[in-house]
Amino acid sequence: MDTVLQQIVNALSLGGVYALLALGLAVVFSVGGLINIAHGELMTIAGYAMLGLVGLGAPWPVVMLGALVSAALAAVAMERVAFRPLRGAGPETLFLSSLVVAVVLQSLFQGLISPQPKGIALPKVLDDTIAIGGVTVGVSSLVTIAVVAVTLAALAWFFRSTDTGLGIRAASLDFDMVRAVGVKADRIIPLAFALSGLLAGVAAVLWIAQRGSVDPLLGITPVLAAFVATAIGGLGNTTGAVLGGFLLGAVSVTFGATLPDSLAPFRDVFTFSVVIVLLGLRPRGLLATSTGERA
Amino acid sequence: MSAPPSAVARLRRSLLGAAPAVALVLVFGFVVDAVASPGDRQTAINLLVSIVAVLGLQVYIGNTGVLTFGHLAFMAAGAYGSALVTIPVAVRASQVPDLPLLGDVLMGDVAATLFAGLAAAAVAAVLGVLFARFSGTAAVIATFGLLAISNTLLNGLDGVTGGAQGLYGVPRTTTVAGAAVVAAIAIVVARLVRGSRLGLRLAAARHDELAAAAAGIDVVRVRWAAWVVSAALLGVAGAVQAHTLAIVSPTSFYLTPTFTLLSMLIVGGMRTVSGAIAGAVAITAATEVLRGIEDGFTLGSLEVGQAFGVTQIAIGLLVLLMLVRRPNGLLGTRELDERRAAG
Repeated sequence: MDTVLQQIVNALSLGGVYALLALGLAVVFSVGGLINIAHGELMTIAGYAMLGLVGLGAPWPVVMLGALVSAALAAVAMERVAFRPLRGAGPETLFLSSLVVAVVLQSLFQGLISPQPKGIALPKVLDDTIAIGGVTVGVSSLVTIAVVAVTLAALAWFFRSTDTGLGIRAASLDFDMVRAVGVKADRIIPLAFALSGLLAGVAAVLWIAQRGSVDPLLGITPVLAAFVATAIGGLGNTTGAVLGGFLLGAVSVTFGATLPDSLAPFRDVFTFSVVIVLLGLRPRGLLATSTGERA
Repeated sequence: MSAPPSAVARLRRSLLGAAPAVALVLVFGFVVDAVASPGDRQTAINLLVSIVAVLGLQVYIGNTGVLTFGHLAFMAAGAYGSALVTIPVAVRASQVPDLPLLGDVLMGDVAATLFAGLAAAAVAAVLGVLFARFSGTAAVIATFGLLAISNTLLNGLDGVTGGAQGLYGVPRTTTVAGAAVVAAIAIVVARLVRGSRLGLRLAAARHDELAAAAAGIDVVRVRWAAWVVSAALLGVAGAVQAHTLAIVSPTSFYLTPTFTLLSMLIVGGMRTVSGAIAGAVAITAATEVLRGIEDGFTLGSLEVGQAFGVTQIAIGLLVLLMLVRRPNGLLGTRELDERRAAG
């Protein structure tokens, strides 16, 4: 029973990070029609910003704020350089462009910073565990769950109650109509990117808080997981992406806890096989509704 | 509108169209084999392997208009398949104790290369039943998943694949001339697919999937056929590569080489066979020059130190520039020999 509760905490904290990443991918996809594989590199940028600020002796709130701001700014810059010139191109072209951005950034990190992982000294409290009703859980997992909950609640409010949030949602339904009523595409798309960068920044802080180091390829693993989550939830479906993230977290933790050790290296094989079959059977995600087709 | 050309006329046109490129590749191969230094011969073989692999990608991506990131899995299938039937049996037993069926099969390099192509095609024929259904964004994610799965299997099934270290002791039998012959065959295959009934149906489905289906084309079936032919070419490319590097390992078939091959296809132009070849030549040449810069050089009195990653970054920027400025690549949408004919 205790271990079940512990696994639930693990699943929620891992799934929460995936959910934030998948949500960022989905926001950009729904507005820009692009799966941004360089989303992972936004995490890496946030990680290096943390490394730099910790090195300068900045206090923790500044370090975290720096991570969020740098990822958001990098996302906006990415849109400007690699995606705006390609507006209107097919999804394949946009994806290739994001792949180029990812590869170039990885090479830059390797060349300019270091191919090796760099340790980040984290506040000691994150290593602690606390006992709740006989169950021992890590502080970092609980912090992660809390941060994810607050972030998701803030975003739900943003999308429902602010003009900008409504604009992004409307743009994801019918961009041409939104432009026709006077909302500028050049404002909405960078905003969507900034938002996705912010989410990648939060995810990066949480991811690094559990691992304690940053390296040039940091973003690849989590962003692949986020791909899977968006595919489960239906591309461009923001609610689906969040649920897909949590579902993937639960599946990963369950596999980790139940698969025999000899099969552990093949976890990705199971996950990706499920995704491929799912894409074949339900291309618009598990939660797909029968409303309007988006090309 | 004139009547469409007959099957025989199309066949003749494809073969005649392929002839100059085939001649060029063969002359290049035999001349380099005869006169070049070992280092240059290696570079030439790498170029020819890239040409075969990019042509393999062109057969699927160029004809269907659907992107695939997963085809390096088939190159891996070919490379590992060929390695496993050519490494001396005694060496093999110590490297891959769990190898089923192939334990003491030993083949010559030509037989092994054919075996590699067939093995890759067989795997692709099964997977293609599902993958030929994907297009657009779903194809991107699904084929990416395929690449991740193949990488995990290559690393994880160490009793069969040698794990992260891969396999060594593959006989070094590839010559420049041999690689050139394979490239020539690949050029002919790619042109035949493009100019055939299959190619025309794929082009129709690429332009308008619904209209093509309405006209009686079984879109999934024609895409499946292109998927299998494409995988066979990549399998062969993998075998030729294995027999020049003497080792096969998982990193040779993951993200970086996928990126390089796709860069070649984009820069040259994915719609045409000549574009695929031009892209392989251009990126290989650029890489050779950039490697020199990466190793550091002296410019007058200015010493430029080592700069890692310059190659990747420069190729990345080049691809980005092409995507924005010339999305159809250097050679555009028509084969060189089609330009005069079509005006």
